[in-house]
Order: sequence, then structure tokens, then C-alpha cells
Amino acid sequence: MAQEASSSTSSKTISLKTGDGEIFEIEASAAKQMKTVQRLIDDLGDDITIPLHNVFSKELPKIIEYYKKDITGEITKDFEAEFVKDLNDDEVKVLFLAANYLDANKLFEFLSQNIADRLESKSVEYVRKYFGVENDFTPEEESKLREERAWSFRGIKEDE
Amino acid sequence: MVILISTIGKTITTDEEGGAATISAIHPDIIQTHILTCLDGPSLASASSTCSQLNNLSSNEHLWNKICHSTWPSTNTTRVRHVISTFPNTSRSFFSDSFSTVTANTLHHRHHHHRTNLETTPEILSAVDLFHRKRLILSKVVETETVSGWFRCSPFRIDILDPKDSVETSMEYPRNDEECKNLEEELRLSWIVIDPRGKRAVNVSSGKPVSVHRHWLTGDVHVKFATVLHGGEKGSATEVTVCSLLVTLGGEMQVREVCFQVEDMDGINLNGRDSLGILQKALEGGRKRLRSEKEGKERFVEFMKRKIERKERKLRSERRLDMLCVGLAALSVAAFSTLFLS
Repeated sequence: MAQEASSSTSSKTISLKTGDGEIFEIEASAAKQMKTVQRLIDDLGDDITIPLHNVFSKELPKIIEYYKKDITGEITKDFEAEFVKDLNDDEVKVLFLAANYLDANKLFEFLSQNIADRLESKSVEYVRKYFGVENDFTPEEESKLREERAWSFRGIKEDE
Repeated sequence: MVILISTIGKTITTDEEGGAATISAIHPDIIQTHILTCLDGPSLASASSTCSQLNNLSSNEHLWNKICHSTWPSTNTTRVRHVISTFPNTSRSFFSDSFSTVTANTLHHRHHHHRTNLETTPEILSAVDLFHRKRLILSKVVETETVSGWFRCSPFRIDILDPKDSVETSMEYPRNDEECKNLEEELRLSWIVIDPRGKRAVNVSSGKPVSVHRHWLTGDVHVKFATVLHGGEKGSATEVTVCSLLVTLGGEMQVREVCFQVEDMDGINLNGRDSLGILQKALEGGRKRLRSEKEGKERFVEFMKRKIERKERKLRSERRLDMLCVGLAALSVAAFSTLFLS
């Protein structure tokens, strides 16, 4: 069932070139899951090495690993837990942004949930840094917001 | 040939040196529909305090609505949904009212002698959800009027189930103390009292049970949840009161009864009028998260201790009074007899 002569994409591999110049191979059926890559294939043809300016050699192998499992239908909760287990918050963020760029829906959804889980008991300052946003509240607005959030603080010591 | 990469709905900014983009570069809609929808209540509140853009995104009614309904399925009924929509900050204020417990000493108010204002709360709703191992086993909303004389004078009690009703569960009957202890870890109850006119809500349950035990005669399993409220008149029996929620399960572990009563330090169930006063104070009080899951039980255990201490103090003072009376009687008999004999 692996080789189908009529379908042109089932056993073919596509070459992807990262922003830092490294080349990785991926099966065409896995590439189909990444809409950005598929669009590039449609425009450039599947014989050319597809350039991915915004994805780098650090994250692409992980993404390829995910989709390798996906096309064989083996993605389970255990696999997903294992997949993110050793990643720190920043590494997950980088993967998330790459999945966004590649328009890789399944991975993107999974990583969104994982990021939400990681942010669960973090302080406001941490969440700020993580999202890369600037605090644009006045001191009065900030203290008002803190007051409104009082119900969410654990115990006497406010978590911040 | 120039190749255009179409990125509909997603904007990407790239660093000149090829560094990674930041999340802030992602279209706000994406952040909202993907990350914010997965956050729980407290985390969403934190996210909304980071910057004004996230504040706007996080204030979306739909987000908080979803969190309320998934945390408390009973809030997804027409009446409750309608009441929540009248709240000052709709779902968000409902969530912040109901998520945490009332702070201790909440009843110390500006008005020290709070008189139950019966006019302001003609009706209360109870939104109740019971979970076992995180699975919902019971979810119901009950409306209770508070204006009739019947309500005000009889002992306060709200029952979720009709006497003949019961709800089947797949739980196993606890055959020993250890299994009772396991049930303590596995059961969760949320009982939200909603004041439709005052547009406030409060969760009177301790979350986890404060006790699980089997009745010695009937074999029924009694699961008690309780929230302790301080700040009543000092020295009186209502200095500390407890909102006591009892879930009774029969031999087949079917839920027979779920009821709410308010007890004072003498173990007396308060009547409707006084209970309503207590609830009104709780509705107006502050909210704080429990420090740990065990805190609800710890507070209840302390309440029971204080109850016993109070009883002992009363006994001691009664004994002293008795001794005094006996002494006085003896003295008067002696005085009388000397009068007669002399």
C-alpha cells in the first residue's frame, strides 16, 4: 500500500531548506499537511528544494518528526506529551511560530494548548515577556487591574 | 520570477538577521482564538493585565462565557445565562464571584449591625454541579423565593432533588475508611448562590468534601461540603456560621439528596431570615482563592473545634451557676433554720 503508481505524491520526498541553509527531507504526504509548503510546491514544482526563510534547523526536524507520526496516524496523547516534555517555554514558542508560518494546522492547535497549559500558573510579568508585549498601563490602571484580579490570587501572598 | 507567499489572516514580521518573530507579531485574532481560548480563568485574568491589547482581547464575552460553562455546566441554562448577562461585567464578573471562596472575616462590614434587608433579595438561584473524578454526575439549577413567611420562619434548607428522585452514578460503595478517604479526593461540588436582583454570586461549597462517612444504621454515604463564615456578632452563637452542603448517596451509590443548610456554633440550623442575612453578607464580601485544596477542610475542622470549646465553656458556666444556686439554697436553708431555732 506504500507505493501507488497513479498518485504522484505518496512516496516522493521533498527537500526543504531552512533559513540558515540546512536541507531536510520530508515525505510529500507530510508536506501536504503544511499548507505554506504545499503552496510553494504548487508554485515551484516538487523537484526543487523549497526555501523556508523563517524556519531554522533547530525547529524543522521536530516539526518533521511530528508530521511523520501524523501521516501514519500514530499521534496519541502519550506521543504529544513526550514530544513537548523536554522543551522549555521558549522552544515551544519558536515551534509555535514556525507552525504558524508553515500553516501546519494540527501542530499549531496542539502547541496552542500546550502554551496555554504552560502559562497557567505564571505571573503577569512572565506572560508579558512571553508574548513580547509592553506594559502600557498607567500605575493607577495597573493597581485597579490587580484589585480586579484579587479573586485569582492564592492565599495571602499575591502571586506576582 | 518573484514568488509571492500568500498569508491570509496571518501577518509575519521577520527580523533582518533571520531571528524568530515574536508572538505579538501574530494576528490578534489568532492569539484570541487559539491561545486565549485554552486558558483557564485565573490565567486569562493574568493575560488581560499584561497590556491593553491583550486586555481588549481577553475581555471578550465569549471567552469568559466558555470558561463559565465548562467549569459549571449548570450555568448553561436559559435562566442562569440571562441572569449572568445582567451582571456588571457579565460572564467575567460572574466567574470572579464564583470561582473563589468568600474570604474569612468577610462579614466585618462598614455596617456592623447588618439587618437582613429582605426586600433586596426576593429570590435566589442555586446552580449546583457535582463531579466525580472530574466527570459531571449531577447538574441542576433551583430557584428559591425568599419573601414568604414560610421561608423566613422555617429552618433554611434548599434541596436540589425531589424526595422521590435519585441520580444514578457509576461509583463504587466505599467498604472501609480508606475508600471513604479516596472519595474525599475524588468528589467535587460547586454550589453557586446567585442573587439576580443584586447581580452578584457566591460559591458556598468547599470544593472538596470536608468529610465522607457511612451512616451506621442506614449505610447511606454522607458527603459533607462546608464553607465557614466569620464576622457575626462576637460572643453570640452566630459569631461563626457554616454553610453546610450535604450529599447523601444510597447503597447503590445513587444520589438521593443534595441539600444546603446554614448552621451556627450551637449546631442549630438558622431560619430563612437569618440565613438570608448571612448569604447577603457573603455575597457582598471579598473573594480569595484557597491556599491549598485542604484549606476548606482545615477551616471546617477549626470550626468544629470552636463549636466544642463553646459548648464546654457553656457547660462550665452552667455548672458554676448551679453551684452558686446550690450554695445560695444551702445558705438560705441554714439562715432560715437558725432563725427558727434561735
